[in-house]
Amino acid sequence: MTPMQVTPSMANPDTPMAEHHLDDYIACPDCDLLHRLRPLESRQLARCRRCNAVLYRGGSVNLQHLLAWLLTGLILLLVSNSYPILQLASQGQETHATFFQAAAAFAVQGMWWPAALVLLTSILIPFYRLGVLLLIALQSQLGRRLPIDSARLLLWHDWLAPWSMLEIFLLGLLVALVKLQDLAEVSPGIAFYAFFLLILNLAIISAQLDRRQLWRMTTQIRAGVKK
Amino acid sequence: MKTAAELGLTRCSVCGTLNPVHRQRCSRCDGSLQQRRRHSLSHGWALMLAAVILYLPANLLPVMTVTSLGQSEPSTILGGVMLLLHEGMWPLALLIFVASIFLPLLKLGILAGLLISTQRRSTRRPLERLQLYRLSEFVGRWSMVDVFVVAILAALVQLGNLATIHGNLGTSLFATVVALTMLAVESFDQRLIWDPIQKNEHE
Repeated sequence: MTPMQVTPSMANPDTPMAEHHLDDYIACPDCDLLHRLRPLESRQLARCRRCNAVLYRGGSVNLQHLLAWLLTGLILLLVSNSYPILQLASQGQETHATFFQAAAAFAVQGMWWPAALVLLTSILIPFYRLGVLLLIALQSQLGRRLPIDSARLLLWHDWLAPWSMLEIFLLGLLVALVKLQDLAEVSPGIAFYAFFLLILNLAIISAQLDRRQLWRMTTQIRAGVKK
Repeated sequence: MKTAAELGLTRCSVCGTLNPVHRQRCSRCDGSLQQRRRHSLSHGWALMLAAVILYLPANLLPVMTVTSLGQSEPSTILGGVMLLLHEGMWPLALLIFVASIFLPLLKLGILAGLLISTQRRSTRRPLERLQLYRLSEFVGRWSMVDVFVVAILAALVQLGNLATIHGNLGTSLFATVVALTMLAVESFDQRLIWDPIQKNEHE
């Protein structure tokens, strides 16, 4: 990854620029410094010259690859949620826990707020975010517009980003696994392995995505432009 | 060096498109435009102080109760850490201590520092302050790990008389503290760190 420095140059910096030139510039999300956009090689990153924030990424998303990873992710997410993640056996008794049961464990005791939080951060929001990407990538690939507001979906996708906590759930699983070792015989279920692969898959997806490109795709869908 | 704000431009916080300052909605994504997040500092303070108030009870009240052969043993976060240490599982003890006790405190400290220095329009060490902001943004979510541990244990350990585990109020409060600090970090507009510097440069 080569960091690239770009310098804004403007004839008269005190008057607002004409609107049709605005697409040639980008403001740093972390310090608001203005930079002129320059074409980058794929895998290159443009960084802010003042605070080093990533401004944009070179190259374009390979839609077919992205779709394949997203579909894989959806399958892994479904498997993770359908089977037990951990199983426990002690003196002839057996229990197991699924994602949903982890959220429900709080709810049955009337602890609604942590139950809702676990349900949202480890099931609903991950499903939503993956679903939105899939819908946008599909529409883009097919060059067809579904009767949904993709821009609104993507907006929520971005807002909810910090609240998808699968990787933290994985850490929690590992901690629980170690903690229970002395108490009983614990073993990971099928969903545990699917979940582990899902975390890797999601990391690969997020490494491919560039927010600007995602928004460009979405506006193209909205305008009905066929790719 | 000029910022978008100085040139009468607003960066859309959703899709990153530049818009002239007079526009209400983004030309690309139709999101509502704000040059700097509105009420960033007052919202930041409110959320942070609420988290500070809940931090103590969240750490003093039991997060879960282990019932084994008729005996109930409630445990707090720190109690859980001590138990792990006692059992010789110190890497795990360290992990829980850092994620559940140290990181929330660190985050509250960073937030307080950022809010005070930004309010006083400080021009000192902006890059270091931004890096602290990025740190608290990155690590904050990981404090939630203990809530997940309790959820998994409570779902799994239901062995009748032999052993059962269930969650307690401490977990609810702790989850609230983490959520509040996350919201506080999100409501803080990091570009406010740089604004006084821009102003100084031109005077």
